[in-house]
Amino acid sequence: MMADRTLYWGMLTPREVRRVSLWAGVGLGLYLMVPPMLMQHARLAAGMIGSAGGIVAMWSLGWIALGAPGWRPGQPGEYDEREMAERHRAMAISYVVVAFCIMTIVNSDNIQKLARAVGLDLPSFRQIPFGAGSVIIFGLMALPGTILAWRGKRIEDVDDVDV
Amino acid sequence: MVSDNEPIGLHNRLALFRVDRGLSRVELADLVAVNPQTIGFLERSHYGPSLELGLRLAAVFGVPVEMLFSLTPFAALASQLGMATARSYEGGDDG
Repeated sequence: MMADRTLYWGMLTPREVRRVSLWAGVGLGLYLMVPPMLMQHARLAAGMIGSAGGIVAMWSLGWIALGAPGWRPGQPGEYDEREMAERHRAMAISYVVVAFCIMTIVNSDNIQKLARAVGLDLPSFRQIPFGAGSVIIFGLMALPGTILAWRGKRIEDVDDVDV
Repeated sequence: MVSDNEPIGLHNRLALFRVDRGLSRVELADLVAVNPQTIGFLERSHYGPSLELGLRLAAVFGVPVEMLFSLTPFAALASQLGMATARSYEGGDDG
């Protein structure tokens, strides 16, 4: 018998993770895209929409990080062998993304200098607002759980109707 | 790699045996202690089970593991039944 998957409060099913990750995507879109688009014409509205998007994105990503299998250690018997294999794979992908992000952040000053030398105006990580840095960190925390949830979608859609 | 979620080179007749026994995916999953979703992955050959899980599944149906899993595609059930029927007729003629 598999362990009870609804053992603690806040735990998300793969379908819920997919739904919450969509909220996070919409929130991130509002947070990152709306303020630059509206800032000149409607500064207040841009700030409000951007902030609301940021809040939705961060809460969604945080919820996935806590409620979905990913960086969170599993309980004994929580995952079967396929899920363990899938989880290891999602963790490996996330590890590469995290390593790439850390290297980019650490080298952001040098990357900025290099970009300016070829005429591109990239921001250094120090110039990125604190909120955006937090979104990146929350995104990385939620990444393995999100990958797992979306990878199982194809089979799950069928299983829902013909189990 | 077995966790790729892509079709693998291991063929199985899991769905056939499961339906024949009147088991749902949830019931079969309970019998072999996996998630019902994993049964779906197995039936569609999107996941290659460990030897232990393969043996557990075979034990549920009371058949040798090679009757459930094969590296080569299984013959269609209709043609197998046809061959078996033809053999039984041949046996009857001999007798």
